[in-house]
Amino acid sequence: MRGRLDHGTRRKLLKLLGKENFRTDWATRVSYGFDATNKVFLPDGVAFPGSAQEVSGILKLANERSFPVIPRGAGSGFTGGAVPIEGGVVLSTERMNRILSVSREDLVAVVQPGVITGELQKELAKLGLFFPPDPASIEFCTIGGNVAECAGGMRALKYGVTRDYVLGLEVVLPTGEIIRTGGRTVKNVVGYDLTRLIVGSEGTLGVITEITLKLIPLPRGRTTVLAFFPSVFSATQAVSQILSSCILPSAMEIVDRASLECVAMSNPVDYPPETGAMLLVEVDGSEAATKEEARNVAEICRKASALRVLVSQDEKDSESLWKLRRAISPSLARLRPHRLNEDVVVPRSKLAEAMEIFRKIGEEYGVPLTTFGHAGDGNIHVNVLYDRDNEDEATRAEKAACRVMEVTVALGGSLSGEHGIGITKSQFLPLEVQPEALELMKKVKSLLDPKGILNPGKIFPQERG
Amino acid sequence: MRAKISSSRNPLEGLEELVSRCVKCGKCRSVCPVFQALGREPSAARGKMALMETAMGNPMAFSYEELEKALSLCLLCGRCTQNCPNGAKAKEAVERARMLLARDGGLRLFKRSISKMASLDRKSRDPLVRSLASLQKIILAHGGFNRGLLFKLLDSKWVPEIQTPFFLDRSRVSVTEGTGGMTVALFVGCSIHYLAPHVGEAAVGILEALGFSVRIPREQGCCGLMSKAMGDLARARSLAKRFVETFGRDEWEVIVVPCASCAFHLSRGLVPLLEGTDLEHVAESISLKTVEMSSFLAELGLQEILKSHPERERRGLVTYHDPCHMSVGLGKRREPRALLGALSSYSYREMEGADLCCGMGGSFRIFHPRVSKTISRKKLAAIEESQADVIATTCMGCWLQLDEMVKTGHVKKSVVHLAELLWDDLKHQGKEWMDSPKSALARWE
Repeated sequence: MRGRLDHGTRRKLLKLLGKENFRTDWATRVSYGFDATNKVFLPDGVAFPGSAQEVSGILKLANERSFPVIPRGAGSGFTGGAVPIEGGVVLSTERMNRILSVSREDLVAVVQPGVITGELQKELAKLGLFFPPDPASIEFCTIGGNVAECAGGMRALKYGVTRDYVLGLEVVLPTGEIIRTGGRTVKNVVGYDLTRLIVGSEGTLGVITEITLKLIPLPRGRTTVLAFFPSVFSATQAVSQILSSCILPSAMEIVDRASLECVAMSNPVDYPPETGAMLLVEVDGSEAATKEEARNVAEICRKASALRVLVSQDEKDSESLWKLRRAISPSLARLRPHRLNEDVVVPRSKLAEAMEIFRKIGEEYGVPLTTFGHAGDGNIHVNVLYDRDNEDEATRAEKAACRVMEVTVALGGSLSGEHGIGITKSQFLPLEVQPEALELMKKVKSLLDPKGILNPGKIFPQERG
Repeated sequence: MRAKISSSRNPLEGLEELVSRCVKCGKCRSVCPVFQALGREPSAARGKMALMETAMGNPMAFSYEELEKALSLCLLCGRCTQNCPNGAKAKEAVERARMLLARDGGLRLFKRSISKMASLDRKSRDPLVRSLASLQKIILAHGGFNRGLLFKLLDSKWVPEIQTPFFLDRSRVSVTEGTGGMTVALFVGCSIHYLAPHVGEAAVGILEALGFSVRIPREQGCCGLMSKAMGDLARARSLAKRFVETFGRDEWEVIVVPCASCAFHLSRGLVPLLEGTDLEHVAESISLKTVEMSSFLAELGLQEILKSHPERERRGLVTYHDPCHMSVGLGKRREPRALLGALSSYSYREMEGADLCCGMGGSFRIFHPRVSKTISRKKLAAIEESQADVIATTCMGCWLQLDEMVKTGHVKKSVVHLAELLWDDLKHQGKEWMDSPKSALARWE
């Protein structure tokens, strides 16, 4: 049984951080007790450390006094990775929010974890540099959270995910030691790859206090192609043909009929009545090259029986098409106020099959279910919508989401492409991870965090009892 | 002593509807000026939503003081509601919660006094302000005193000098007869009446020049936005009632309001306040007649008239600051720019960050001076970086705040109300164009 923060512990934390940066008032505790899963758990206190040393001090004390510490960026995660399910101290990285250095020669940026990813991209763009991962929450999520969850986005097919851009880290281990992993070079094979162990560890293996990011030159332009297909199947056919004709789009988004109908309620989109799926393809690079590639993409779509194909003429055109894509997720609130947002991944060859099965699952359980997502990398966002005041519907939604997970694994896919496991998916982990591998993960966790103080109750399925 | 809340009743009842749509995604963090200044979650819209939700879920176990404090840290700019992907209404929830908390716990003395001062009618309020003006003259003559809130407030760093005689007392502004035939009423609000009568005079000048007969009801007072923002429902209601009684006549077809914040409140906030009373229907028709001045003038086509004037030497560059109540509240961005772009005295240059909040937020500035200052820093940087010599705006709150910012920041730029520039341009052109507005006006007659 964990003790709550006793008076002495609180005093020590106050002494370490100052009264502005260690808060135990009701308002602060409540508002640092949730993330985008909309579940509130009250922590005993909230710490706002300003340096790795302060983080280390908090973790050492946590080991000594045995209280949980839960790292939190902007609290925009979808799986509860940052919520204090067992109370304890929420450790917010918001104060560590500086871009420390950007090197055009090394193509490297060194940043603190609290930097807002979108702001980092804006600063880099001014220098003609590019950090590609673009989760939908880019305007408010933090880079530290992105690294801890290994965030993805729409450009993963061509540019990879957060993991592919982390060269090195400064990490405070759960026991308080401050270590550095990796470095600032793309090539580095010295010792075990601890950087990759920490990336995507959901704040369970250490607190990230500094990140060295790989950058690339900013592509000069982009052209977007929008195509409506009679079915998901014909749209995915087009996807395969685009890729096999040696075009590597920076994004390829597929949207099912249900999502399209929903977004059309609040946005001007004129689609042919027999549309079964919409495909949005973006190519980037020099202007001449993108124009030619876009023409080829349009041609492939037409051959793959597209009902209508549009090619953007300029950046404004492109932006309005992407605006439509980004409006989909929010517009689903028109169907039902609440949702189970699953970000499953299937092998690209199974994309059409998976989307068709998911649609049927929705029908079978009688819940609105929409699918859209990253066709290029097989990452599909399955939204099971419900009203939590309607208990029956909420239960059916749970069951439908559960079926989605099972089908995904059966198709050789993965439970989460970019959201992580946290608390909302932990019960499904054994579906995908074999018992021996799960045991190994637990051993790694207990080796680094023998007292289990850092972000307890996450990732691993909880033994019920 | 403040009244204790009765324990059985949920103090925030009726809020569920507004709060439940928030899924805590975090989008509001990227648009909330207060959150961006403080960097702490309770100040973001979703933090406040979580606090209200928690308080509603467990009315016995929440801190009344802390909830009130968190809710007071809101400018009511409306960016959260406007940008919410889920259609949650955080601004409206905060407004409502403030009223509910004030109803149950009473307003603090300080807030109560400010709201009371605002709600007094002119007969009782003008003499008070007149004595403050004398006090201010003494303070300013001595180079300012740095003690006590009243002294600070009266220091010219906080508010410009109180201008006597007040706007509504000036003989210049008695009821005027224009040449156009159409009659409009003018509502000026407190800032113009006490602090910037010249803006009121400019407004009258422009309207008269366009041929309107201008009526300025002398009994007019405060619009009531400040009382409403503080949660003082009773006073906000009585001010709404007074406005409806004063302006609810058939004599005029339009009520022109030079301040965007007053205009926002009077055109959008009046009806909800008078819902269920016998004035509700009158309020509805008056709200429809009430327009923010630059929108009125732009719709009338004043910019075309200005453009037809002969070129003259430009005095420099002018830019525009978007007041939150104007851009977010009324959704008007184009209109004031169209007018400024047509001036013959200045060239218009857009400022990067024109829509950044100035940090005033009405009474927000009084209750949270330091936070207000932090918010204003971004704006000041934007102003400094802009090449403009003059910053024009359409809200008297912004006008006050921006003026103080450039003065204390020693920025060599001036801040004006849009009407001042328009009037200056019209005056310069003389009377010969007076025949031309007729066609533009025809549609209003």
